[in-house]
Parts: sequence; structure tokens; C-alpha cells
Amino acid sequence: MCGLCGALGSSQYWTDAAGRPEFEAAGRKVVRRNERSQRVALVNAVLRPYRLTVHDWGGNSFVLQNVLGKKQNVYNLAGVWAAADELAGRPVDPLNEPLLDELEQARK
Amino acid sequence: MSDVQRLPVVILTGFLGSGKTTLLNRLVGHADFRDSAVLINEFGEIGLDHHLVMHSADRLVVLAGGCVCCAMREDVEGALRELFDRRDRGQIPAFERIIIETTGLADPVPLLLTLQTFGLARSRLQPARVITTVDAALNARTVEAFTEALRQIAAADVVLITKTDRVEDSTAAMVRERVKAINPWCRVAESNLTSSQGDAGLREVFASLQAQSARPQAVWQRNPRGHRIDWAAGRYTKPAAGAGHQARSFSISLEEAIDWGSFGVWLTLLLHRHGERVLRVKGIVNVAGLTAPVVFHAAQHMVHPPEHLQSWPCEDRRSHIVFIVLGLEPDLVLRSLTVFNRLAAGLAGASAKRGVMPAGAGGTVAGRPIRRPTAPSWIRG
Repeated sequence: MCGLCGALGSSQYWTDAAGRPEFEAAGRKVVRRNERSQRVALVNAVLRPYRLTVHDWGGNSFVLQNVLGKKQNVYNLAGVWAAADELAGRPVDPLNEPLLDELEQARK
Repeated sequence: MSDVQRLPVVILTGFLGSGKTTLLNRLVGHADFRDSAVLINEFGEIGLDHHLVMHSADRLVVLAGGCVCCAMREDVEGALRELFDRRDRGQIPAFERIIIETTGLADPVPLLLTLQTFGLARSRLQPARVITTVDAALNARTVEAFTEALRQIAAADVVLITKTDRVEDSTAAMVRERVKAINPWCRVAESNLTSSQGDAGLREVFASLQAQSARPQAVWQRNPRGHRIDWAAGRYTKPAAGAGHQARSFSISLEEAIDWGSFGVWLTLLLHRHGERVLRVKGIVNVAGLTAPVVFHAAQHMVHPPEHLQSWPCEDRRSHIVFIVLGLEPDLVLRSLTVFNRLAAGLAGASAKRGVMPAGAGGTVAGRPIRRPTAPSWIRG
């Protein structure tokens, strides 16, 4: 545990492939740091329309920030979405068609 | 704790008056289940059900005053801890399984989540199996009026249709069909629970509890047979229950391999936003880079740890996900998954350092200054 902020060490979440040998195929090892950076990039892509950004902080938590600079520290994806609703001021919805349009557009 | 044998745990649920306590009595009266510890939750301040259960008082715990599945969650943890403490100290006879009877108005999923996350339960109990009792005479109206009844059936591993002696055979068959439409994965048995020796349906329940938990592969393979899902058509939908709840099951299939990172982001967000409406979801996923599929299942906001199969169960290599939902649109769910899955390809070249906040740098979180001067260099970036 971090003595300053009380942050607990990270624990395995169901989405984590790193540290689980079943996800390693043909000598391909899932590196925790790479997996987290990919997750951060994905979440940033999803949250961009909501004007939120997320950073990996210290390898065991995520920091969400809105355009006003308000931040929240969370530990897993479930926490990310709960904090995103609060910081965005509106619910983040994966079935929102304008969001899906925007994600498709951004990919092109 | 690996040398300690994990005990089976059974959650006994069902709507008010559907026969839970009668089934509990039949269970603890059976020679094979006599050595069970029983937790009973009762709705209301004064519990009555435990007076109706003929079981050793040493191993019977009553949680009065609320619902075992929400407000009383900590009581379940405390009760389990005390049961194991007393067992380990030899103050009560050893028990070989735990049976938890919920209230008739309980949604069993939060209780399953408690058992999945609570440390003692994780280390000393097997994954819980859910038995739901369903009243043959009243089921149609109950499911129509109360989502709790729907959620109890959706969460079940075994459904026991009770009071079959009070209805026509055709009505019992309709109830069975309705149960299978809500939950295509569960085993369904019928019993009127009047015989203390047990009838065929009750024996089926006993046998299913004595069997080891079904492996995911077996569960998955049973599913298409039991529910006639036409994988070739790519998708099917079926009304699951009363129109009042717009419950239905549908499946989506994806040709392209699924990026596990994108899938985790998508499913956690879907369940965060729409978990209340996702009664159950199971899937067999072709994960990019793996030669065998991953099976997962979830209920509402809870996702069970994914399981890896040794090999594909058939020639079909597509990912298939079956949903039982209240009012979600299959086309939109499929489109959402597809869009999220393709996000990963567009981000493949992104710098790994771009999304990292240096841990050793100062900053503020919720107005509090944050600094981690002791963070190792590989974390500080």
C-alpha cells in the first residue's frame, strides 16, 4: 500500500491477460506494461468525445481528468467508467449511436 | 490455503411461496445433505422460516431483518467467517457444504458477487450453484409483474418447477418452455415436493448438486442443442418472458477475431451502463492470437473469470455471444462490439509511453497532493 495516498497494490481483474499463461500463445508473452498502455489508449479513444483523458498512474491505477482539470484515481475498468460518468457529467454509453459513429470516423 | 478442501455452496432462491423452504427441508432431510450448514435470510424483522426447517441448530444461521442480497451482504461474510471459525475450533460438527436460502424477493446476483469477491469464500468455497424454485401455477403472472422472479430464473443453474400437481400437464410444459426461454443453460426439473422420499424431479436436483460443477466446455456444448440456436444464420432472437419486461434472448456472432483488450473495455462499459438490463450473457470468443477459444459468462454487473478451452468444440471458429436482456437491441449490440473491436487495430502504432503519468512526479488527485518518490524507475517512466 502507498503510505501517502493509501493506494492498494493492484490486483488481478478479469480483463487482465498479463500474468495468465493461458493468454500466451506461440511464445508470445503478454507484458503487463504493454497491456496497460493499450488499455489506456483504447479508453482514451472511447472517452475523447466526452472530453476526458485517462493516464496509467504508477502501473497500478488510472487517473481520469476532465477539461476543467478535475481528476479521479481508480483501480480498474469498472472504476474508470463510474468516474467517467461523474467527470463527464453525462453517462458514457457504448450503445450510443453518435458515439459509435464518432469512433468509426476517428478510426478512418 | 490450497490444501484445504473447498466446500460446495448452494444458493437456494425462488419467488415468495414457490417452495424454497420445503425444498430446503427435503435437502437437509436427505442422507447425503444432512451434513450441510444452512444460512437462512428472512424478509422482515422476525424470522419464521428457520422454525420450519428441521436441521441441527448448531449449523443453522438466521439473517433476519433484510434481504441477503443487498443490505445484508456484510452479514453473509460475517456469518460465513463465524461458521468456519467455529468449525475450525471444533465447536460445531464439521459440515461438508453450505446452503444459503435467500428471501423470495432477492436478486441472487449480488450474493454471487459477494461470494466471488469475499476472500474467505474465494479460498474455502467452490463457485456457488444456484437452485431456483418456480411455482407452476403462478409463474406466468409472477414473471410478468416482478423482475426479481425473472432474475432468479436467469441466474439459476438448476430450476425446480414446483406444485406441478396443481396444474395441467400442458401448463407445466408451458412453464418449462418459459424457463428455458429465459435461461437456456439451466437444467429444469419438476417436483411437487410432497413426497419426503423425493420424486424423480427432486432426485434430479440432488444428483445435479452431487455432481461436480459443470466445466465451461460442457456447459457451452449443451447450450446449442438445448436451445436450437441457428449459428449458421448468424443471429437469433426469441422473446423470453412477459411482454411487460420485454425480456428476450439473442445471440450475436462475429467473424473476425476479437482483440481481448478491446473486448474487456467494451464488456465492462456495456455492463456498467446496461448491467441492470443484462440478465445473463455467455460467450465463446475467438481471441486474436490464441488457438483455442475463451468462454466467459456474466450476469448483470458481475463477470466470472474467463475460462480457456483446450480446443474448439466444433468447426465454427466465429465468436458467439448469447444475451438474455431486458430491452437491448441485438443489432446495436453487435455494431457496438464491432466498432470497439476495430479500435485496437487503429491504435496499434500508439506510443506505449503516451498514456503514462509519471508516478514520481507531483500531482493532485481530488485536491490532495500526490507524490510517490519511492516508485521504481521502470514505473516512473
